Amino acid sequence: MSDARAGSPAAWDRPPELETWADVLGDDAPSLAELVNRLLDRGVVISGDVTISIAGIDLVYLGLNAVLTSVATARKQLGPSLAGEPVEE
Amino acid sequence: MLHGYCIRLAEHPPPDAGLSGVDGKPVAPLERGGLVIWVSASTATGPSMIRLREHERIVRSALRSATPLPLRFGTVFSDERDALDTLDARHQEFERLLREMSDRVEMGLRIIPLEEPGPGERVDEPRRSTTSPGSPGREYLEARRRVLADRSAEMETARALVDQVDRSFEDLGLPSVRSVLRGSPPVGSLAHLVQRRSLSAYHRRVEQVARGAGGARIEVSGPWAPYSFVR
Repeated sequence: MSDARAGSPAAWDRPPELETWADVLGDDAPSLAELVNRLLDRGVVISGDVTISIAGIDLVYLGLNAVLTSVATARKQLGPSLAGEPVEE
Repeated sequence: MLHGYCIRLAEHPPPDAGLSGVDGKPVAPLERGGLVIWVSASTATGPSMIRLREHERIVRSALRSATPLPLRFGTVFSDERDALDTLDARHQEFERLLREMSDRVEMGLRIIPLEEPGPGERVDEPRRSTTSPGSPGREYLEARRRVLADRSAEMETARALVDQVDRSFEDLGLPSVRSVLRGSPPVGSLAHLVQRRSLSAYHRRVEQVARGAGGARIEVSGPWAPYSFVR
């Protein structure tokens, strides 16, 4: 049986009428996949290529899958500096 | 160099005092011609998870008071003049978008097919042929063809699910962006632009659609700045 889940269970407990935008946004951290998808693949693009560097290697961003792979590699390389961060499987 | 976060109308509130962004750098507004761009000093380094979250925290901070136009992560300006010239170059377009979206936020739906490969069967590996053996090369190519056909079918299934879910919101007249993210299985993605005052009603509709979406699990996220509706 399918179900709808918010980014955090608390979202479904909010009262139906929201008083302020603080109520809407709260402190819920978005899932990693949603975050990466939006920040790296969408949004206003000012210049032709957005050059990014991962683990000291300059890359021209080509697509979400390429970045996810690289980020996964960077996580292994950076190790303790990313300790405690949630992993989106 | 400056790291860019988002663009706003000058009439909307500035960054909170003491707000720090990526790598702990203070966020500052640069204004020209009624538009403002939020920036901080850039260390010109890549998208670690920490930096992505720090960036998004700033955009969400802006979103609280008024919907901004979010910049793609990694947008870097050489200096303040470069950032302000960027505002000039697309001033009319930015102002129009900001006014159109001032009372809207983006909500995201992830549509995940419930059917998964059977035990011991991975769709990214060629299945061994059980027919009479041909040449190894031909057998491999045939197996690869089956794998690619399976993947194509999975993508089509994911697209069909996204279309089906989006149609369930048709009567609300929401702008939407559909996409499918490659994976095993592929995951459908649907973004809606929702008026702030209608968020409760939107959540109720999502619950209703999720209950009736046989064969898929629906996860909702947001509100976001309108990443999917700007270029």
